[in-house]
Amino acid sequence: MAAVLKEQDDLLVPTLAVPTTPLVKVIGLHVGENEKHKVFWETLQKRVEQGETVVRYERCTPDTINFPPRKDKPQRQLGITEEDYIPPGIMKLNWPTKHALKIPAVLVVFIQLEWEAEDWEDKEQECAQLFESLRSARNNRSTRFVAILEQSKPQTSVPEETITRRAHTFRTACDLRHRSSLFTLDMPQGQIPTAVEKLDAIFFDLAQQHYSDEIKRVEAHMDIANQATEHMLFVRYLFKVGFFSELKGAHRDAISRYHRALEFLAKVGFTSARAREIKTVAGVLVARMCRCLFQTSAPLEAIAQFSAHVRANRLRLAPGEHPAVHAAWIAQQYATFASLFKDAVDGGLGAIMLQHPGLYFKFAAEFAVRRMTEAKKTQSHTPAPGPVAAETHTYIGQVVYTCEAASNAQQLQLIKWHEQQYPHASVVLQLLNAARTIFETYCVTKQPAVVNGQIVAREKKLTRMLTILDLQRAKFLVLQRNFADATTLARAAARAFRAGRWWSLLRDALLLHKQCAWALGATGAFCTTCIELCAPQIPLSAEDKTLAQSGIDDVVQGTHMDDSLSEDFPVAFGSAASDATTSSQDGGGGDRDQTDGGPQIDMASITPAVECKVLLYEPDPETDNRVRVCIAFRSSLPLPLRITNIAPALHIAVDGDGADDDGSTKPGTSDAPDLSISLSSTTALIPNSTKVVELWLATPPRLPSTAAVVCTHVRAAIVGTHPIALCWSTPDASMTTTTTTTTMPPPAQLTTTPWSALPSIPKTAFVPQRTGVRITHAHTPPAFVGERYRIAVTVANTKSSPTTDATFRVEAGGADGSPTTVDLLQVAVDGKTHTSSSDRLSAPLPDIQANASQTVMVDVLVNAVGHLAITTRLEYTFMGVECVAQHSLSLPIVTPLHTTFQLLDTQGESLDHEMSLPAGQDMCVGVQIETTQPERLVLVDAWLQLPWAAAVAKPLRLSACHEEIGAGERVSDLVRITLPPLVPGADPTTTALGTFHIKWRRATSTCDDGDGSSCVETTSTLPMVDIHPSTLDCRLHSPT
Amino acid sequence: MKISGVAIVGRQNEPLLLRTSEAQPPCEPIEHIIYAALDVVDDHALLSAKKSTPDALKFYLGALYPLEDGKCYGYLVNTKIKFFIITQSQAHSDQDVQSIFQQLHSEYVRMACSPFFKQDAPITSAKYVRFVDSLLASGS
Repeated sequence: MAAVLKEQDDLLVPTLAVPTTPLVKVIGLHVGENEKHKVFWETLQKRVEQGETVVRYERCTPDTINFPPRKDKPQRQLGITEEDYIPPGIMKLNWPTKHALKIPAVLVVFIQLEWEAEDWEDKEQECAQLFESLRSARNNRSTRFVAILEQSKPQTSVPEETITRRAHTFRTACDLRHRSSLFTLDMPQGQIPTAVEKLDAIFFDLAQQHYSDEIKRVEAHMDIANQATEHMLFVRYLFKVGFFSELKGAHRDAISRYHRALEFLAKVGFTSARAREIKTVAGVLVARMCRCLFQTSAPLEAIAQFSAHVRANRLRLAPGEHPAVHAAWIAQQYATFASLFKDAVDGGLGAIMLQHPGLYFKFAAEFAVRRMTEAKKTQSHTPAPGPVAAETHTYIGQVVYTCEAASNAQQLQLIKWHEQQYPHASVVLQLLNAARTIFETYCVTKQPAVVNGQIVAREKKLTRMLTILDLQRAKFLVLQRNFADATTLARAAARAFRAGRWWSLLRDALLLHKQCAWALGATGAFCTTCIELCAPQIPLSAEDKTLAQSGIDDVVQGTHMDDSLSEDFPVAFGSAASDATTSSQDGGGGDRDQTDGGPQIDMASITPAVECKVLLYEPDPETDNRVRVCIAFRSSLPLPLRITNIAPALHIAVDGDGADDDGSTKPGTSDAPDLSISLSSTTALIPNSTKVVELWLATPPRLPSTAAVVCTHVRAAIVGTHPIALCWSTPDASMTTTTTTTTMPPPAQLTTTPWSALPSIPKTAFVPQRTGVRITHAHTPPAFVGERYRIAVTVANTKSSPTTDATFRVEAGGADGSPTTVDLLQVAVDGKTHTSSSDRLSAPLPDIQANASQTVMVDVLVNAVGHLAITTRLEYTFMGVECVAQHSLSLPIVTPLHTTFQLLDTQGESLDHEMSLPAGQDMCVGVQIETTQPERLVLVDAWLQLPWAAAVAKPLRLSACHEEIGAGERVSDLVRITLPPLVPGADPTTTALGTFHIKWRRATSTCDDGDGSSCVETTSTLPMVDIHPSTLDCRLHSPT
Repeated sequence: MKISGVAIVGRQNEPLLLRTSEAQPPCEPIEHIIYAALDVVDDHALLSAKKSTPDALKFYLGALYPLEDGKCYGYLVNTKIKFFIITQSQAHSDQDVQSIFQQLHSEYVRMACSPFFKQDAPITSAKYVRFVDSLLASGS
């Protein structure tokens, strides 16, 4: 039975595996003992390996050589009917093997015999006996004998007459009458390769003669056969002639003979008993033709020949022939042709993308699949067949169940039993693997690509063809229970189909993936596949979708752990799942969620049956500053789905640089969300309806003005004892800097908005500048040097809730590089005064009620001309959220009054530098005051302070006081001074110094506390005066 | 000519219409055939783009993919819509095949002129489907 199976099921057509090159056997070569023999044999082998010869060489001994006996042919006699000549089969199974492997065309005998040997006659007699025994063993075959006499010394050293005489007697004694039948090997080792080359050519010629003789012998039989009636016999003869022609190397002759054989075969009656044999023989003939055509570099002819053969026989089923048997035959034809094509391509023949061996392996696989399908139709448990199955046949294409000895019932039983035992999946997978290997080689195209700035041609594989093959391979890997590899292939195929939106192909891949996940106990992958199968795009019946969702329910509820549910399947899901869980706990779980240990379904990587959209509404500054987060779900599952723990992952994004001041991360830099809100209650998703879940997000404290909140993904869990996490990534979460222009429907209308029209807006900006507290400053710039400048800061709460825990902070300092410094900083809040001598100050602020305001007086004393920056900041709590309000201003610091002095005598004449006055004489000082600012000032007081005058008199007061001056107005006064007498013993010359003081205030000053604190005293330096003993010499010096 | 399948594929290589003959379906699923043939269409399109003077009116791509019992022919129009025909036998004249493609294309254009036509969506026009079915039934 094994032989029958092998004959039927080998992927290659029988007889095709035998080599079709001349066979030469060598006797008497002692490679291990004789160095010359060794060199001779190695040279032959080297020529074979390098393809320098087509002759096959074999070593043997006289004892092991075995020629198959030739059978006696029936003698044709007159009066015998034609039926007597009908053979039991067309071609014998072992005939090609016999002539290709067993019967040599040439038999070479190595003999160590010197021409001058003293015992020449004895050795000659031994050789004669050897050749006689070989000749008798030849069994009337036409194998040529060749003798090679090995000489220890060159032939030239032997008299020629001796050689001629002894060679003649040797030929006669050994019956080597043929011309090229006796050679000598007398050269040294170095010249043996040259001799081998010559001998090889001679052996090939002799082999061709042998096969020509065989052809003539067969053709002699054909001459007496009847072409009109003995078709089977003619097929056999023509096949033999063709095969000998192949061995001879005449491929065109062989093709012609095979073609004629096919013509005769077509005339043989196509009965159910002969059908398989005829088809098998046809396959053999076509395969041999194609092989010859490939060897003669005619691949197109080979393809055409094979296509015609398949076309003619594709639907050629004999009555009662099982379709599985026919499909097996076609698969065999394709596999054979693919192998021949592949051998030819390996031998240097060119192939193209649309015509290569892989296609034929693929076709073979298709028919192998068809065979499996047909076999399954009649599959039932069939007992082992009886002894009839053990019978073997000697003719190509004859199997037990086609012979007439077997009854119809036996035939059917044999076929069933045979198909039961046959490894269909393995064979299909083998063919698909072969196809894919070749597809990978030929299905490439060159595309331009830019590499290092240069355009180069880069090979790109045509991946779609490979993906289809992978899908088919996955299917049969599942049948072979190689679920791990099948998972890999199915997942990759599903990814490709999903990207291309080939939903029906995606369905096929998913169904395979589901089986694999089930068998491997990968609950995450199983649920992921189930939920994708329920997607509206997947063309699957409602029942199948319901079953898919039931699978998810089983996992969630833990009922899949019941092995009894899956006892009919190859692997129990429950035990596999528990095994997988155990292994995942050891670190091998790929689809496990790290947080809660359950599986997680990433909806972004599949075609989801449950969709999710996130809408972040911009906060309304007039009501509160919370962000409304609306999460809309739409389920396409056939049954309602309950989910819980809905949690959007919200990140803070800052436009511009990468992170804000307090180091908050941008989306994508970390998986951990910056903000956390969730809804723990259960929500039911009704099929094909929109469900909206609303959450509120409070603005976190200390955010820059450009901060925004981005939802990167949403997670939820399917309710059950073993919850499964669902994760939806928002589509445009990465576009954090893009301003969304989509119109957002009001939250109340989300459920009624069509799902396709519902936008997903996962980003919105915080509005910290629109806080409920507003700060305004009341002041009249510029500030004057020396002035205690007052700013009225109004803190207004515009919201309907009070602010609490408020702290008022003020910070002042020079701006724009100004050296201005602050001498005093004072804040008056609610009757309490807080003073600081530094440039910053903070003070608690009482609660500000709704729609109320609070005024804070900030006094600043500045001592130099320049610019002053003042920042006020209010930190407070609003509705439980810490908020910040801030305001800044910058104001110039100037000197408002300009004072000029003039020295006069008592006559009112101006004193110049040359005039001298005696000591004790009177003089006058003229003072003129004007303002540079538009604001009106009140001169409260003014006086001259003369130290030298004070020595003798009281400080002189300026008479012009309490005058109000404005822009363009001047105030002047004249002061009479009596010069002091010179002090005895003092220097003859005295320098008199003096200062002029003005006390003033703003006419609109509001910070007069009644103690004159709002007044500012400005001091100017008088010109220096030199007093001489005789005269008073006054010199005017400009004050520095 | 026996046609066993007709397919139309969109601009993004997504299937728009896949129809097979009920009497003589292709030897393998039409999705497999068309999906694999798209590789060759891409290859053709790439070669066409490389040409210095691409022939804008040459839509017919010829045989794209050999099948066990037939061939798959392709037709790529300027709008990147691809038409495919799967035949039952191996040898057909290109003129016959082109003629069928032109009919398919003309009917497609007529259908696309409808204001209700949706670009890149699966073809649901009953009239067009009837036309394709008639091609499959008649064989030419």
